[in-house]
Amino acid sequence: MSNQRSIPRDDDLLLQDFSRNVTNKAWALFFGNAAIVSAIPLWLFWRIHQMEITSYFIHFIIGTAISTYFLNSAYQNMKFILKHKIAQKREEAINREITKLFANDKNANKKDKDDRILARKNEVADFEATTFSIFYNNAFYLVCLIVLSFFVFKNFSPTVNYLFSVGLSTAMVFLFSTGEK
Amino acid sequence: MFYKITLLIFSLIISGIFCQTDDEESFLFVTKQTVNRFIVQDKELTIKYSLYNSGPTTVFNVNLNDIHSFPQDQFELLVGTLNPKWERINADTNLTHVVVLKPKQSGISNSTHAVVTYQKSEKNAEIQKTYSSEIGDVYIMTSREYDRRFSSHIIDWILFTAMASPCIVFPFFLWFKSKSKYELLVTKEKSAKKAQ
Repeated sequence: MSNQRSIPRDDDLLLQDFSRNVTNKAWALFFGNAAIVSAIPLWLFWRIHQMEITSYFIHFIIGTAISTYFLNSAYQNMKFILKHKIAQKREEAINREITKLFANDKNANKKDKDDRILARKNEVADFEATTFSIFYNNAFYLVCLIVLSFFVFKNFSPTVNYLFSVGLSTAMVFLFSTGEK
Repeated sequence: MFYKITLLIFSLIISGIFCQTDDEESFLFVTKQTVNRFIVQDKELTIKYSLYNSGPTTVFNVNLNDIHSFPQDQFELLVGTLNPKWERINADTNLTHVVVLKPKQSGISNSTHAVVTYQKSEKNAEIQKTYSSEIGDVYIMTSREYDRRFSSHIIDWILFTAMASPCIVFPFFLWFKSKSKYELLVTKEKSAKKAQ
């Protein structure tokens, strides 16, 4: 009976480990972050480029929606790639951590210990990959946007400046997240 | 004979001198220019008129009229007058007149010549009219465009940094904390093994 119970748990963990899909909680976290980071630069365009919200709200809505979608995708892509790398790096440390926990527990068998290590490794790799992906993509997106908007397209009209800055920086973040190996 | 010729030549010279004295006239050269680098709606615009009396004699009753270049509905007069008068401008003298205006509208504005009238001499009432240089077509930019290009926006940048920092710093902090914890575990074990 215990074998029948543990096999689905192993499958679940393996599926979770190798799947590209994120949980609902992670998706909500990514979507929320992408929406906030896409909306923050509107402040700059409103205050510095003097783009009135009432005149440009259509541009802002379209730009924010597109950058939210692609930032969300970039987070997920980078997280998937990083998770396996981080899992390999943390394997030794997590082994030691779990070994210490099980040191005093003589009833625990090797199977339980291995399950525990796998779950913990998945949890830590997921957490670190998520946080690093959000940090890196946010920083890259904002730096690209500021450079494009205030240096490259500085002398263009506000509309062209906004559409090209947001479009190009979104494209660069998304393409970079898919290309990394 | 010799004396007659000498007298004739002398009288010719004298009459020539007097003729030249009667025909010597002064001319005013007038330039009109703007001191501003940029002309902005609802910001001060400074116009400088320079009048130079190039000739050997004084000119009188000098009157500059530039009201037609800056109509009341388009420009507000802040300092000075667009129709100044001077009693005299001495020979070889420069005179400067400054007017400060405020453009009420933005867009392309054409500024033509100012008209200057004066008397060449005190006794001769004949009025001489001359025109200044022109500024031509100028672009008056809106105050929004001026602020967009030249205002420092320090407060806006500070607020943007305050809003964007949590999105970058907080995830970095969480990642770094986890990374440090597990790397420390590995280095501790390695150093403990080395010590053994």
